[in-house]
Amino acid sequence: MTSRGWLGLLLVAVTGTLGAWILLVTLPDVYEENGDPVAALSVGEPVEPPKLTTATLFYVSDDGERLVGVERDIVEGNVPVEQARYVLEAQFLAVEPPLTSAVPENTVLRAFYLTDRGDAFVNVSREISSGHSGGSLNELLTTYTIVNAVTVNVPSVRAVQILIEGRETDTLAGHVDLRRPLTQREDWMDMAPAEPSAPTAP
Amino acid sequence: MQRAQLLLLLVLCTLVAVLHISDLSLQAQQSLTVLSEDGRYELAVVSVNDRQMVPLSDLAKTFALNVREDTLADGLTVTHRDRVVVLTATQGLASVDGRVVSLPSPPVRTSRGWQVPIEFLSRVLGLVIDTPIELRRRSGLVIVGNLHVPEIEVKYTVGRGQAQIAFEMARPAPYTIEEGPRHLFVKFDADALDVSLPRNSPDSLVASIQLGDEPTWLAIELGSEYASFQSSLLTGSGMSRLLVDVFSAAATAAIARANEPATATEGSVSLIDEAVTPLQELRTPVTVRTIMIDPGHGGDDHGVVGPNGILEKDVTLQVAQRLRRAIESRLGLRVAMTRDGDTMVRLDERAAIANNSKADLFISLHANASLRPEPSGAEVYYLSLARGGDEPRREGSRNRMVPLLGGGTRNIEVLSWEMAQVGHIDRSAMLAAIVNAELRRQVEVRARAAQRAPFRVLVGANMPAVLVELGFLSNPTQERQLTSTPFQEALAEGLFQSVVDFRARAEQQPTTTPGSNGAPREQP
Repeated sequence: MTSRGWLGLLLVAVTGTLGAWILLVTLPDVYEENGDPVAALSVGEPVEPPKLTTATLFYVSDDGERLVGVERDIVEGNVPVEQARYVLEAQFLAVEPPLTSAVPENTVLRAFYLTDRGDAFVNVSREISSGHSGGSLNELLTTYTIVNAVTVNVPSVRAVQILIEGRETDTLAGHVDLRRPLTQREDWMDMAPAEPSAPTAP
Repeated sequence: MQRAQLLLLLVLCTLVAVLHISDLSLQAQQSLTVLSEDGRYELAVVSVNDRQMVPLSDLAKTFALNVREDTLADGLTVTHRDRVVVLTATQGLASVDGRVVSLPSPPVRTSRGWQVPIEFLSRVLGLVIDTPIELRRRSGLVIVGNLHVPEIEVKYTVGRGQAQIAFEMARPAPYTIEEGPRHLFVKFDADALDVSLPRNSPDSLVASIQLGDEPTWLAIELGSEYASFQSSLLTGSGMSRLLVDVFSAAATAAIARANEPATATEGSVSLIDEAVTPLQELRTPVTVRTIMIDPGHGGDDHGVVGPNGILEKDVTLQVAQRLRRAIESRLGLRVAMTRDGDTMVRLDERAAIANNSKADLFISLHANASLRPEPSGAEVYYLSLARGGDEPRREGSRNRMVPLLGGGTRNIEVLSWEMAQVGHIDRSAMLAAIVNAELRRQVEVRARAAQRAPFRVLVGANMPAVLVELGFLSNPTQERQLTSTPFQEALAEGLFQSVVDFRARAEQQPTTTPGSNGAPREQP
């Protein structure tokens, strides 16, 4: 082998060693420092999948007149407050047709509180009011989507009051009185299970 | 020489006299009060040859006008941005960007500079600054911009044991009445008030009526014998009257006795006859005399917007006006409306207006919407409260022991204003069932019977109350119907017949409603 050949072989060996060092040593360290969950999972111990439970979420019926219950698997909370948060986060997710949500798009759960009396306070973003199309039926369906979703799935909740951006509010769109906690109502609720689909469990 | 001096002296005296006389014709007068979004300030007014005028220099400072004197043309040129006004000293005319506007007199040059007639403000200046300016001569107000300044004439009458303060308004202005330790405050929802106050001498019930601490308050200073008050709002024929009746203790007791069921009296009650006599008219019979119609939404609150742009606030107002005409012309009953134009009225104000008007029925009109285009038909609702059972009633009411003249006390259940509807649920249910049936004779009504819902506007109404959804604006077919005259007439007819039917039934039944019919109530 000529000296040029030896030089080429040495270059390949050095490059290969450097590449292996970067791939096997340096990159995992960087990923661990950044806390990347995927890298953490890949190098850490196996994590148990979250425990799921079945919740009834509410959507507008085909005729637009009632709420229908749809059973979905969601993460099970350890305590009622946590459970209510998971229910509402699932309820507020966007859905695909044929389901229609009475909760205006982009509404976000800000916070959830529960008193010893069983009165829950659901603090949501302003889109619930600013994005509302109005009409008393729509407003009843929006309100009772939230009230029923919480009271049906979290039995320790007796009544629900909706707050917007942390403040008490008169109404969402000029009709339903939101100044006090509301109890579950079945007037606009059809509990017959509808076609399951669409919303993704958190 | 002496003669010449005397002649000169005479001429000088004549000149001084002429100048003095001419100065007499230019007398300082009261000022005008200018109201604008920036606040209020005074504008000096002078009288020149018996005509009220304002200094153009003051207007120039306030409204950023540029004034230039044109000696050749014997006139003035006033400019503001790209607007040009030409005034001549010889004619009562102004040219505003080529448009000729008449004035009662030409501008006048005095020792204090150029003066223009006060009409210049409303006729010329408004065009120049592109903002409406209203001149109210009686009150000396100049209103710049779209400020709400109701004209209110206050009248005062006093009788034995009671007095009445009447606030007469060309248009109803929303208000609340608050009772302080020594005053009743009538607080109007307005930018300012244009008030004419009475010149009453103080008496034992009312010491004075004057402007309050805020420019939209009127303060009624109470006398030593004051015990209670009631208020009501009367509207119709282009005039609204807010009546505030104040009572002595004897008169208050007489009202309480007049409204008390005979078997419910506690303790001995002795009434002075003279206190009863003037109050007989306050004993409200169980009749339906006043209907309050509440056209939903209004102003910036459009309510539902239909697929073709029809607004709920317009539909509700149109049907309300048709219903009012029908009731007034065919039944002769008094009808009041929470709004008679495109104005925003808060939900609690709507109930307050109904209560202050002592309305016997409250009908709130709305148009519905669904996320699906198919739903159609009218619906009728009456109140359900947030919680079931008696809890709202306990929360909303409390008992008050009232001392009576001559000894003894009486226990009066006082319902909180905010929960006033609690005591009327049965009759509201009856009204809802009637409306449901009568509307069904005229238009499509959804299959459901009258429903209950926790609607905010109904909670505070101290009378039978329903909310009627006239149809679905989200349905394109119904949207067209809801704007058509025949359909609106059919809706109005159904509601009119509901009033007729309810009235007939209510007047056959004795009332058991607590807190109604003139019993002392809490004010908002």
